[in-house]
Amino acid sequence: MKKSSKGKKWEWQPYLLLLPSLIIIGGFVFFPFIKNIYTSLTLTNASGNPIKFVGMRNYMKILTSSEFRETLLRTFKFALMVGIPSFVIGFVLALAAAEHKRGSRIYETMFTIPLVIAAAPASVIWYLIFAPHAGVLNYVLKTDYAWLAEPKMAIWCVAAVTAWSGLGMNVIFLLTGLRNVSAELLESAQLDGAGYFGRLFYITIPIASPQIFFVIFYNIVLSFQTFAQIRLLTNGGPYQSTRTLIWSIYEEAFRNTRFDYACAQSVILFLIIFVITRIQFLFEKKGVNY
Amino acid sequence: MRKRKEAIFFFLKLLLGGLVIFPLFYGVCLSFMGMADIFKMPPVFFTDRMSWKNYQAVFGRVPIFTYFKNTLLVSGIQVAAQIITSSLAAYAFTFFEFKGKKPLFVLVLASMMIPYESNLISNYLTICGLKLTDTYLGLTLPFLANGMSIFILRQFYMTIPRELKEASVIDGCSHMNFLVRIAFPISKSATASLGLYAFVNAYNQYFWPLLVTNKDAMRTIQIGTGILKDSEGADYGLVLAAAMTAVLPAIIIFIFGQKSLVKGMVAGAVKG
Amino acid sequence: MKKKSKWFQKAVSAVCVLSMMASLAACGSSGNSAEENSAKDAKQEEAEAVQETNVSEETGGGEEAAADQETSGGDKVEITVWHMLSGVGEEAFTQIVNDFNASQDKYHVVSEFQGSWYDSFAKFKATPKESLPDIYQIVVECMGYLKDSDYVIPIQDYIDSEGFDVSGMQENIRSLYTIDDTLYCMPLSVTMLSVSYNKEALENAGVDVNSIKTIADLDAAAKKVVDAGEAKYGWSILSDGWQVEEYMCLSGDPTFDNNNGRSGQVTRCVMNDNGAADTIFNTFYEYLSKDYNYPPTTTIASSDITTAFLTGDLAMLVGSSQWILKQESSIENFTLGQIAAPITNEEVTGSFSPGGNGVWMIDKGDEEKQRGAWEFIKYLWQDEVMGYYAAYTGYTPVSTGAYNSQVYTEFREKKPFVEAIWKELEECRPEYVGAVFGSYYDFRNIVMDAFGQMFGDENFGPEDAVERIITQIDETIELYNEANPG
Repeated sequence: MKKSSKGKKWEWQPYLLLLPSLIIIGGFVFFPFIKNIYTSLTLTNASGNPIKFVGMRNYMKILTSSEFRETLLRTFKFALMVGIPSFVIGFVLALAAAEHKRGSRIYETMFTIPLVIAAAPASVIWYLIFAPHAGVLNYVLKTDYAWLAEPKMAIWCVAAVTAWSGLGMNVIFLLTGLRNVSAELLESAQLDGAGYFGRLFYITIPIASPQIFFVIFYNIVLSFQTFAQIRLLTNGGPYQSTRTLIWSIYEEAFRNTRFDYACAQSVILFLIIFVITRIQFLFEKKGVNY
Repeated sequence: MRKRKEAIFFFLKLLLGGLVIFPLFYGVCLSFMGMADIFKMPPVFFTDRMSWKNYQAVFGRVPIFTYFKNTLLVSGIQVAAQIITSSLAAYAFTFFEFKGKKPLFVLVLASMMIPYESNLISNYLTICGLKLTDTYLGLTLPFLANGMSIFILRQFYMTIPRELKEASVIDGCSHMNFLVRIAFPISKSATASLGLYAFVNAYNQYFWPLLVTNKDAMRTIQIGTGILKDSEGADYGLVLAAAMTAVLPAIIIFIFGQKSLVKGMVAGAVKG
Repeated sequence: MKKKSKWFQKAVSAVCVLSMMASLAACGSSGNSAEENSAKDAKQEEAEAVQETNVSEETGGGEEAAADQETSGGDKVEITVWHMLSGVGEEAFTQIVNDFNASQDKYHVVSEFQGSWYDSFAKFKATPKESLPDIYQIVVECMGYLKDSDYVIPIQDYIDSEGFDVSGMQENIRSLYTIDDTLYCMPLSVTMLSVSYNKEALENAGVDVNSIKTIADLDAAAKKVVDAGEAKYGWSILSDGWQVEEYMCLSGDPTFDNNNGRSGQVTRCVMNDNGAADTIFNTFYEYLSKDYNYPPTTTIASSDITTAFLTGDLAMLVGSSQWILKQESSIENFTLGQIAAPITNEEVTGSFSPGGNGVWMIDKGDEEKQRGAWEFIKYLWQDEVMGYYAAYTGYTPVSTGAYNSQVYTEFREKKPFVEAIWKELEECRPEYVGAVFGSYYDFRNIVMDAFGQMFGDENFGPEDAVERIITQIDETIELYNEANPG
């Protein structure tokens, strides 16, 4: 049996290959999500079970509440505060570590360490760094500020910790992309007179563009869903100043047992992320080369 | 002259690395101290009162080795499973044209955008219904495949030159053969990155194992440190000792994983 | 390259996928043999663990404890307990469970930690009935939900049918967990709102701790201590919302209608109907805003406040007696003392209410397991057992018998100030206990935010705080009642 007629015959091999992934993702990601959509249209009782169908009421209540609008704004702000520094710094670090020099493995490892430190220990350490009176940050800056307890600063601190945690992942993925660029290509460009930035923008970035695209995408999607750091550092406080959409969902579902609101909010969050990534994929057509 | 420049760069990069790694270093130092030293002003990194006291308490109070074993097993299963399922799926998306390919891929991407926390309870109920609580399968089932992993590999597979594939077809190589003998080995670095990503995510799970397991013997290390943190909330030395105990194996595995990452990079340059 | 037929390739891939699934299923069932393995491992770890641990001999190494839990003797009826205790609470409880198992051979109790109270509660509510535990240990705040659910058995039923004697139970604690003469659960841990203070700092500043009765007295003492240079800050309060309810109980006015939810479903927040809430908030605002005190702006500040106290920067802290007591070992520079919390002013007519957690019986339809659960609860009730628990954890005993037990009496001799806490408990009055109410987590958050914000925000005063609390919680109550009729 030769593969002569591509696309004409119905091939079932790809479907088989996709099957295991689709079963798992279907059962544990999509199935609950459909349930959630349904729940968002009902009123749930104290056990979390839907008892009455109320249509769009939950959505109306949420979208008209000023608290939610603030949360939404804050979520976008936070996503940018995390995504941009994490990507930029990660990119710089990856560039620094891309070439194989003597001892480069040392600092390469150092750059990616934040990856292995779970949110819990990281948050405890950073909590101590931010502590008033005796924290390292205050010592270095010669201030005595309660970083995590001040509404204006708390969100920056949480963003900083999250960005730091994300560095490792970014560096690894970007390195994969950067190292795909063959050394000979770069050398010959250099011989041809291309400067560092010339090589960077005209050779390295285009060749590494699939990974770069992925990393940006990953950063955005993830920064909308940052949860562990908020839970461990500020619990949404002070005065709800670190309450992002994902925290709001968690609190409604797991602490107030208001599943109806939680589900409505998660549907909204999903739609937001979906729209943003659609926009980003439009850029894929333009900027990414395979 | 070139050597000087290189040396300078090296030290700069080391400094940068030091900054990145600083919180970890600080945490390790503090884990050996008691409360009074932790809050000394100005902050200190070493005191003469450092001791193993906190670590002794950690090992004495929770069955750390059981937790380790469980965590490593659960993480390992998730990594292996994701590598397999994602390779198969990414391959399908890259080297086939089939009906429904675009919508299916969109679905895969969409799965990454669904907030994970909102599905926890529903998945817990599913696991309860399948009577899989307190089992390794129950702990890992929702994570045997993952949209992100598929996406990572697909991005990489897309960079494999068409000519390579076409040449192999002419040679009579079947899809599975190509996948196993050519595509997979080439993508070692991407696969290793994916493996690391999956491992770290699995290793850091807290709420899911808490929901799905009841017996101490099945619990993971994050829960173990959680047991210590909730009560001993204010004894940061103890909490840090527990945290460092949890972090250490991850760092070791990571350093080994890095080796294969580098190997993969060297082999990754695809020559025509 | 070998030629393989396409068909063969497809078969191979299918087999791969299937065998992967199968091997995972096999892994799953080996979860049970993990128990036996961990028991074997435990014996090896035990040797090292016993040397290294500084926990009392009774509990032994962590691995051993886990092994003890799991090796049930096959014929015994297994009773599961879900609890939210960690640290000393968990150690004491595990010891009690092990002793119970050793003392008889009909039942084997397995106790399982389920996270902090809200994590545990979320899991409990989500779990289907068949997978629930036989005993559930949780904070008193969850009483509103539990009493209404149809799978909780009030222990009053068993008390009545057996004529079991719980008359020694401290009457305020009994009142806390009783509605309509039905005692719902067995109290386990009790804590009181109290003042923890730095003994030396106060002595050196010439403060007579026993003369502190009102908040004004407390503040005067605080000022004295700071002026004498004995501490950086005078006094503060741990703010998680509980303190406001405590002071409402003290005021004599209920926080919610229908007798604080004990005579019927709560429909609105009445805490300011007679201005009691305004008085409380104004008092705290007035005193804690002074520059020698440490105002609690948020819970982050609460962790900072606890730290400040433990390191000696803060001289006096109003909060849960057990919370500070169990961290006493972190205190290096001074001796801990505790007295009853100060009253708002002389006009109050009520009393404080105890707080804490208790043990509930769950009805899974299995008569045998209920029997076992009840036997365990009876075991728990014994004076020596309750006394041991209180002494080990720093919680206050639940009965006079436990208070006078051997082990607790020894504890009292080492820490005489716990007698002041017990006295505070005895001086409470049963009519003034905390509310029974379904949305506690929400309420606490709302109160905590408002309480903190009045200190941190110049444009937001105590009366704004009270008003906002009432508006927000009334909304929540309305929604709750709509979703949970009857």
